Amino acid sequence: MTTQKVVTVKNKKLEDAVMTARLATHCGMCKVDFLETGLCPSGVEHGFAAYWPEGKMEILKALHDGRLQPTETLVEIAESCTLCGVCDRQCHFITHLRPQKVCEAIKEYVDHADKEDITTIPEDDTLHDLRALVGEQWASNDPAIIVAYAKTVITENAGSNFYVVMPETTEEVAAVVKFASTRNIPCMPRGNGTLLSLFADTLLAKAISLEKGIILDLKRMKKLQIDAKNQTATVGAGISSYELQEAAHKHGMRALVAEASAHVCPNIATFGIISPWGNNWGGGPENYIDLTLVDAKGIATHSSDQDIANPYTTNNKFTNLTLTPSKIITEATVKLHPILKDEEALFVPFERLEDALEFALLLATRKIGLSLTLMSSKYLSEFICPTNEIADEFDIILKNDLKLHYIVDVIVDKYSKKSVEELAEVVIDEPMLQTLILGSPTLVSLKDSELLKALSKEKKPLKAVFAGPLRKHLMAGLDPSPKQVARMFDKDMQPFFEKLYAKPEMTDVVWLHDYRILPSRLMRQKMFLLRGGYLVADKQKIMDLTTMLDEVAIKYHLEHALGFIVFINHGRFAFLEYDYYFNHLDPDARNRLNQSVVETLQRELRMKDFLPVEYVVHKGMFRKEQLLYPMPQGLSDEELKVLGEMIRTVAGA
Amino acid sequence: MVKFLSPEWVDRAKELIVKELDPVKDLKSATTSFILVITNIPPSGGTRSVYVSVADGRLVDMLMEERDISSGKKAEFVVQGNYDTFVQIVQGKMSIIGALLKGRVEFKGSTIKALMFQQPIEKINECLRKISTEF
Repeated sequence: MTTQKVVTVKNKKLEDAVMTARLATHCGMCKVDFLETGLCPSGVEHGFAAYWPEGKMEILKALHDGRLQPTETLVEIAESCTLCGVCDRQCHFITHLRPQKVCEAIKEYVDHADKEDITTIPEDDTLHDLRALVGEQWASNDPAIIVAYAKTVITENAGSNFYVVMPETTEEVAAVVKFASTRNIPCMPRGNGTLLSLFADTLLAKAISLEKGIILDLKRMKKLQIDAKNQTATVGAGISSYELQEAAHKHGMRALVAEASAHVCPNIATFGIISPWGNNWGGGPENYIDLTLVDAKGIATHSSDQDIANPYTTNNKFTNLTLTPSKIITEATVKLHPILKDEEALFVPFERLEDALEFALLLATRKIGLSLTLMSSKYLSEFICPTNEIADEFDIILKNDLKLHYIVDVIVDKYSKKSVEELAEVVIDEPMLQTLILGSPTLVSLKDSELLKALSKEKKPLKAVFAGPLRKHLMAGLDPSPKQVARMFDKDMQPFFEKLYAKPEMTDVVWLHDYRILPSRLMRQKMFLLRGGYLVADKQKIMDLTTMLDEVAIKYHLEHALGFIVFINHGRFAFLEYDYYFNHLDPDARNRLNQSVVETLQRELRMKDFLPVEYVVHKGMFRKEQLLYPMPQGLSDEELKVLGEMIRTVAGA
Repeated sequence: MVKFLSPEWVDRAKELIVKELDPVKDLKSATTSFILVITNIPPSGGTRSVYVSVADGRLVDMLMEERDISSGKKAEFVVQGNYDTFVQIVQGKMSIIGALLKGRVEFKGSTIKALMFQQPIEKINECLRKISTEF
């Protein structure tokens, strides 16, 4: 059976599987054992993205679109899947998708394929040499392996002029890069691919992706050593934030990490780790001790070497735009910080951003609290609600009935707790947060109820609900339970999710801050692109920026919301993420998003004391002082004209 | 058919730039000079440099040497990259800005000024694309 035959089969099951694959946003959580289900056995054994659920989504799409013909490796990929169901549990928790049907569809395709149609991709000289460097098993030129990297490091229509290589050590990375350099073969590293996936449906896709050459998949670099005495951890480029945090926690410490699926080393290279704990402990550059770096010629160095050019320096000029990493971080030694026994989370709710900002800045500049984030109700809703639909309704109730639009989220010890409680008019404490996590479906069921209508008429509904007499009634009325949340998942999975939500960590807000398993829910069946960047932490400047980002989103009819604001250097600077959501399957939505990207960037670059996110990316390992002092003072008209031409070129790069 | 970066290719390039590009409309009356340093040229892995100078939008000089001349000869900009990257640029598969953003070329000189010459440089590239070239 040929690919075309499969495409034309009118098969509901296949259609469902293909739609699942198209909806996938590649959050990368299927490669993190965050539910303690174990990992996809096929992915663990074979490594390449093609063997993981994420890669299988791309394979099915390519088969369906006629971009991939059956190969022997495709048969191996299909046969290696045991249909164990781990991917369904993981993906359903985050995105509400069920990837197992994708795996089944690939198996079915392979089962029905004519053996004569299945090709063997011959080993060419380049592949032979690459295999000599990393081992027979860990380099491939098979289109079924290559296509799995689409929508991250390559574009969907990039073709098959690639090799995928999975080195295990810095020496192997250096050898592959040196090989590529001497033979004029482009080469690009890939961590877990999440950041790249955010850009995959935008005008930046071609500029950030590899057009041909060697994809260096760093996932095999699994070194993870904790030095408890010196409070450091050394991690290879394949270690995820979740894995590092898990290891650190065993020693009573935490690392400052990005979202659970982000690999630590690539994250240092890209953004330098933007974390809720940054106000006290800084960002990436303040948190790594040493980096092992491989340059474009394949020369490995350490940032601690005394005879190298200053590795910490860069500039923030608008021409310093780098969309791919200049060096590969193969290993990082990062600081760990002790976890205090009396840590707990307090959320301070606000109706107006101005008030939330004022409060957050007060805490940031007075160094109150251990971690500090200002986030929107949209973020809170997406994080804690089990489905999109509940999140949307939950957000409406928060805004319309409770007048809760923003949260200042602060992890406190017993000393800072007193300060926050004294300063805040209303505080949502951990028991109430646990109630909201396990009672969100019931709260949503109360939409348009007399109770919520009455509440919305209160002069201060937040105070009435979270600090007044209604508090105990709400806590009882929401009847929080793991069973209630589990009911929102597919019926066959409800027992699993009931057990999962019964685990203490699922309602332990400090744990959730450390492991950051919930942010990927922002990629639930739709895509988002982050806007914003670093700016001087001034209330008016932040307000001006959010107003501008609001205006542009409205102009282009994009769902939008402030994501979060975190602070560094004790309230001197802020990093603001503002999210534009779009349906990545809708060409019109993608077009509107692209127009919004151009317009926001042009308007951002006019602003003083602001460094847009495009200028932060791939500068993560440099000293913040190099990036943020002095802050850019806004571009002239002539410079903006030049920038416009540059953007046009980038879009077609 | 002429070999990429051969003396014949340079002669043909000069001829086309003078013949086909309007100093005002295409080259924007630009006055500048740049050196392209092309490394790893197959089969031996050698290096060649192409020096281009224009004044008021007219080609003043274009010469090629079989070595890196960027440290000895003065030019406003130097762009260095490997053979494959320059082949992609000349073939129109990648822009110089795209190559810069992807870290495929190293750049010396004022980036802002170079960005202002984007359009004339693209016009020169369009000319080079018309040469029947063996890569």
